[in-house]
This record gives sequence, structure tokens and C-alpha cells, in this order.
Amino acid sequence: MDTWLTTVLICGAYLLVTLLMGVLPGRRVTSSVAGYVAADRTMNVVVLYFVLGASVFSSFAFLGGPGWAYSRGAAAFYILAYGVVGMVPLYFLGPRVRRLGARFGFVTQAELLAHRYGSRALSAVLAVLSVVVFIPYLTLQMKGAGYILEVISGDRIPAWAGALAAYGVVLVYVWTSGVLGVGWTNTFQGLFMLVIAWFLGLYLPHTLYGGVGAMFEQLAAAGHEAMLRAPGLDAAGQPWSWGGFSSAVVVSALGLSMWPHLFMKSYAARSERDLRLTIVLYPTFQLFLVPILLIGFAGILAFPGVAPADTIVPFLLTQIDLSPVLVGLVCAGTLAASMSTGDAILHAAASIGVRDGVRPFLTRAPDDHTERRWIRGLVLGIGAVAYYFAVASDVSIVALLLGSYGGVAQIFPLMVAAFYWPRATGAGALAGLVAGIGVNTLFLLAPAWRPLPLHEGVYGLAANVAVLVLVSLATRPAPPETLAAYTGRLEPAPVAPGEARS
Amino acid sequence: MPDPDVPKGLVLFPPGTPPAHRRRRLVFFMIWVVTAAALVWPLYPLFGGDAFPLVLGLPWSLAWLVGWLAVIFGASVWLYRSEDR
Repeated sequence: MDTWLTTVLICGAYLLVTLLMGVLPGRRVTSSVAGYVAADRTMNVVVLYFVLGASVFSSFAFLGGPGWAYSRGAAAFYILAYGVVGMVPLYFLGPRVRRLGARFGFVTQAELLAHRYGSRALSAVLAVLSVVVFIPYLTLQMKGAGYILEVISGDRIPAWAGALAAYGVVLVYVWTSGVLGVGWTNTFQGLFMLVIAWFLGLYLPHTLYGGVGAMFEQLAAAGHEAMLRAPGLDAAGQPWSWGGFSSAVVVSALGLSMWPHLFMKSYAARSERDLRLTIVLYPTFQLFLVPILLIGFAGILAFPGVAPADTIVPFLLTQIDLSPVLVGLVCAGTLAASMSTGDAILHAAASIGVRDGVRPFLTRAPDDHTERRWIRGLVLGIGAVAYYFAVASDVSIVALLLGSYGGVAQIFPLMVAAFYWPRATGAGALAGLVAGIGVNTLFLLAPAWRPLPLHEGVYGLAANVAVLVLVSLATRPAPPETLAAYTGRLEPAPVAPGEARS
Repeated sequence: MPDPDVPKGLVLFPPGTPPAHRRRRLVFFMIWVVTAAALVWPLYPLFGGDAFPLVLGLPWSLAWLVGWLAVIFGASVWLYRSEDR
């Protein structure tokens, strides 16, 4: 059989397994919105662990991460660095969030903030922010999927068809099973990604250089030692500034747990204990970035001059003498990385669009079934828009996505204040968020205006916190009964896990 | 006028939280802050930024981060076990 055909067949088998794993669990949840969006609050540690891990690591980790290591060396360590501390806030916030969700029926991040701050406008701003950052994120995942299938099939499968096949599968299981489809497929995909990354990350240095240590020694001996010294190189190949590296780590670390599609998984947890244990175990998933980065380093001496750098993984696959079965598995692993992030984003974007963008502004709340139908409709709509951008548009979305971390980080001060600063008010939160997003966007679009060459999110956060504090102190706090639910000791709701609430 | 019952400052723990629980969480928080500081300027360049020596084959600058990942993991396990009784 032709090599390419073997590879493509393995990817096809992977897609089929994913489809089955995604569609089957749909029968296990109630047909309510809480079932579709928060799995009736029944996810256990294993599923949560893989949902969290596989959603964080996207096709950017599999293609972009090695690409950064290949072209910029230690600069790529920043994606490892921010994850070291970035998930920890959820250990403290998550259980409280879960409890409030069960008590008040929340399934999205904005519902909680809108309730705490008594502000529908906040809900609308967060819905717009989420959808604006999610569409480029999803577009990028689709491009990654189409791209990998195009390369390994030797251009026989065009990118549009590859993206359509992969995301057709995603669409079917997100439509059918909601978050439980995301959960089960991510468990499979996450496991797959871990195995493939560790295999390839250790195999390549070994086969090309005789070992990981030998690879780095040869890199240094060949004059690449500057790439191994933190913080590596910038995009132009010059040493990256410590200010740039440090501020990118800080903003991304604060933003990580605030990504709405990750944050809202707190509601899906079966218990507070399961949620806390998941956060505790998260670093064991995070560690797989080490072999991911080794893949990129392995390309530097063996295959210099690959451009763009993001193509180093597929390039390596076509150059080294690997059995077609293994190449197929690695490609399926890359698809898994893309799809396990894309599904969570697609699902979250549609849920947030309806729950936070539409529902609060209706005079009469829709019934549960109508609302679920709307969410499903929006799954289709958002999928179509992202697909259009992925295949038909040349807008530079990578820059958009990197910029969006600064926007998402602006939710952090509001979330912390919601639980730990009773004096924070709705007007303060709204003004802080708008100021933060505004300043962040300004410096993103006009980098030359930054006082110091730091990540734009830092300036956004400074404006955000200052405005949040000043406006809050000048306005009336929330009613004591609301505050008691957020800063007081709220006993767990007396309903058994798994029972749907309205 | 603002409600006089609403505290002006931060409320880190709900009223009635046992002192041992507070202490453990504050200790963990300090570890988290130290770890975060170790990942950025000035601690990272001072102590962790060099390429050599290699540790388990990894450059020192990468092993430094993996080490702090292990610190956070260990501290989280300790906190979780102490709270899960």
C-alpha cells in the first residue's frame, strides 16, 4: 500500500473512533441546558483531567510550540512557564464557583459575574469578548487540522477538505452530546496526545543525535548556545528582552484559568473534591510540553532553514525514516490536539452566546428545550463562520490569538474581587473590565505607544485594577445577601450530584 | 453612603474558617508567589537562565522550570491531602 494511504487511513480510523466516543455519551445526560452545558455536574477526575489538559493544549502546542523552539530556542519555554502557576487560582476559585453554580443554576462564567455584580451589561461585554476571542482560536484549530492532513497526504487532500472532515466530526458530537461529548473525546484525545508527544520527543533526539543531552551539547558546540539561554530569541533572531518574556508569562498565567471554556468546566465537576484533585494533577499533563519542545530542538541542526518554523513537525515527519503507521499516529495526535481544543471552544462559544448574550435580555426566559435548541443552532453558526475564516480568508489570525490572551486576562481582577473583595461593585467591575480591554487593545494595535516594551496585557491589567478600585469605592456595594453567597461560608447545596437543577 | 456593614478590605476567608486551614492556605499561597517570581525577571535570569549544566539531558534553563513545576505539584499535593481529611 502507498505510504500516504496508510497514513491517511490511520487518521480516518482515529476520526471514526473519536466520532463514536463523542456520540455515545449523549444518551447519558438529561436533555436540559445543565446537561448540555455542564454535564449535569457529574464529571469525575479522569474526564476533568483530560478535558482540562487537552483543551489547553491545542494545535498551537503541537505545531507552534516546536516551531518556537526551532526558531527561537528558549523563548518557547514561556509556554511551559506560565502553565506552572496558571492553573492554581482555579484550586481556590473552582470549588466556590461549583457550589454557586449548583445553588443558582449557573453554567457559564459570565452568569456568575453578572449575578455577583448585579450587572446585565457585564454579561453582554463578557459574551462579546468570549466570542471575539473564540472565533480566531477556533479558526486556527481548523487551519491546523486541514494543514496536517494536506501535508501528510502529499497534497492529495486539500486543506479545506481536511478541515471539513475533522470539524465535521467535532460538529456532530458537540451537537449530539454537548459537553459530555467534549469530555469523552478529550479523554481519548488527551491520552493519545500524551503518548505521541513523549514518544516523538524522546525518539527524535535519540535517533538524530544519540540522546537528549547529546543533542543539546551538539547544539551548543555548533554555536547555538544563545538559543538555550533564557529567554531565547525574539522573532527577528535577536536575544529576547527579559521584560517581554516576563510580562508575557505573567499575563498568560493570569489569563490561563480565566479562559471561559476552561473556567466553566468548574460547573461540570462531580464534586469539589474531584475539581481540586484535577487542578492538583494538572502539572503532570503540563510536563508533556518538555518532549514537545524537544521535537523543535531536534530540527535545528538536522534540518536548518525550514520556513515557516511552524511547519517543522510535518517536515520532520516526511524527512525521517519512520514507519507509515507511526507517521499516521503522529498525525492523528496532531488532529487530536486541534480537535480537543476546538470542540471545547465551539461548545463554550455557543453556550456563552445564548446564555450570556441573548437570554438575559429577553423579557421572558425561554424554556429549557428551546434554549438548548438555540445553543445547538449557534454551534452550527459559529462553526460555519470559523470554517469560512479558516479556508477562505487570509486575515492574520495568529497575531489575533496571541493578542487575545491580554483580553482574557482582564477577567482575572473581576473574578478575584468577586470572591475576596466585598466592596467591589457592579459599576466598578464593568468600568474596570472596559478600561482593561480598551487599554489592552490600544497597545496591541499601536505597540509603539507602549511606555516600556512589555506585554500589552500588563497595561490593561494596571488600568483595570485602578478603575475597578476607584469606581467601586465611589459606588454602592452589592446587597448583603448577594455578598454573603460569595465571601461567606456557603454550605454545599443539599442536592445529590447528578441531579439537574433549573 | 456605602453600607457600613460591608468590609472595606479583602476578605480572604469566610468567617469561622479554622486557623489551621488559614495557615496552610497562606503557606501554599507564599509558595505559589515564590514560584511565580522564579519564572520571571529577576530570579530566572539570576539563577536559572544559563544553558549549562545539563540536568537529565535538559539545559539548565529548561530544567529550572521543570523543577518549579515539581515544586508546585508537591505543594498542591500537600495542600490537597491536608484538606481532604
